Amino acid sequence: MRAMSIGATGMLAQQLNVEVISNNIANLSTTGFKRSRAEFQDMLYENLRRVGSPSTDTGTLLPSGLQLGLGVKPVATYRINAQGNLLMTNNPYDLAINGRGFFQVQQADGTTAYTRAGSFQLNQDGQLVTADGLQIIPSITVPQNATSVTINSSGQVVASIDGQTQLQTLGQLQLATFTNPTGLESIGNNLLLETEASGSPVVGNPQAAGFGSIIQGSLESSNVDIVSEITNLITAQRAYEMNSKVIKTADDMLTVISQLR
Amino acid sequence: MVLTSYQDSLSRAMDVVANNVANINTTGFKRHDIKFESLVNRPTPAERIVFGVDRGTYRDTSPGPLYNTGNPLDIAIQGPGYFQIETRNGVRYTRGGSFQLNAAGEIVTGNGEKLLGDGDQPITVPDDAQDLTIGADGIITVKSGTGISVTQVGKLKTVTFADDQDLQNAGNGLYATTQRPLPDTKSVYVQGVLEQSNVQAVNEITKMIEIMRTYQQVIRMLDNEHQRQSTAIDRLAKTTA
Repeated sequence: MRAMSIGATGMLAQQLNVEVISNNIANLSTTGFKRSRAEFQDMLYENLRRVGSPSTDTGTLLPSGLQLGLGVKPVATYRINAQGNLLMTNNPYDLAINGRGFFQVQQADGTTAYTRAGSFQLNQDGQLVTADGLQIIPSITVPQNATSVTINSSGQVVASIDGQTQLQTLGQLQLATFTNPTGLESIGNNLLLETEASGSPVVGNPQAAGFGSIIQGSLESSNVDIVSEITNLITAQRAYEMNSKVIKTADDMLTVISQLR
Repeated sequence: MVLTSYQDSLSRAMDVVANNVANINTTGFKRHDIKFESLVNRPTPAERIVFGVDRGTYRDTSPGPLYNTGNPLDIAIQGPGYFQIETRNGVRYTRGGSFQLNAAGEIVTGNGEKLLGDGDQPITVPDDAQDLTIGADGIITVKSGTGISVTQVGKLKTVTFADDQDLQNAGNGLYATTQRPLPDTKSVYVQGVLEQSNVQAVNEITKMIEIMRTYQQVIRMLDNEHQRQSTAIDRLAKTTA
């Protein structure tokens, strides 16, 4: 009975769907989080009578075949890179990107990771780092005697230094963009890695052609829309139930056969 | 004999329903239905035995409900058209409009197969493109450069067929056919929206119950027939004895 295993593929697919949705809901207030969506496709078909094959020897063709589908399979969980809402925090090192681009941070092993979560802090040396202590690339060092730090929309970092009338330029923030940002690999901790599917990064200054701008004192909140996630969750749960009904019916049919002498 | 042939068909009908329910959330999926036909065997006036056989499955091509995803590369077709997808085995057709970009900036399916646009060429989105917009007519524009000028990067193309039923399911949401595709003049495109599967849970569950009940009846008749035969043998044995 194929219906049993077909129902099982349906249940597995909906289970995965619920897992993706629950991860979205769990990250509802994660800075810079992008929601994912599970995408499904139908599986292979078994051709019992192939469509278009001759039905007689006088050249008539079968208008429709007898094709049995063998269920469903998940193909992708793709990230939807829509802009999240901006949340005012008034913390000078909270940076939101409005538009395309990722901040580059240096991981412990020296490789570069990418993130949209711009909640930066200073470490003991005055360097701009993420909450996990990873340095931003290119690195920015704020001197100890700086009284206020201003980061403008094109990423220039300037500070007023105690005892100086002139503002001092501390550096220039840069962003990286990708041809296919959906192709970046999530590794947790709000970080993404370059893959073959994402293409190589293009690094440039914020507000340059093709790059977003920086907003100081704001954070990009997650782009999860709770109403649609809950609706999806309900749909997924009902679909799961339907598939279990299919398995139940197939089982009942088998029971009927087994009762036959 | 008659009953077993029908019972076989019913179990296949159940498989079709199961596949519909499994694909209740599959983008662009079209539900299938099974068609029964009575197969007449030995059609002499004296003895006429009719077999119930399933002769084919057909695809219900009615449009599915639209679902808003907010992803700029999710495209729903409103109309009879199909997207053309370039696969390793040749051009395939699909209604599932969930696309992404690959590393080269080409528009591809979830499996990485290229979508063919106007002129049957893949559509490439430039590196620095922002705000990708797809019009109802399928023209894809992006803002590139400093963000003021809007440039057209391509145009979607869909095709139709003389006979939709002749499209063969190739899995992965794709259809294969030997028919020559016809230009599609009726379809319009909706960006950020996906066409969902047109499977209706109520219909499938009702059908499932119907199949189940018929199945039980068939088995009951088989059982009755078995008893009738054994009684007949019993009685005949008694009369001769």
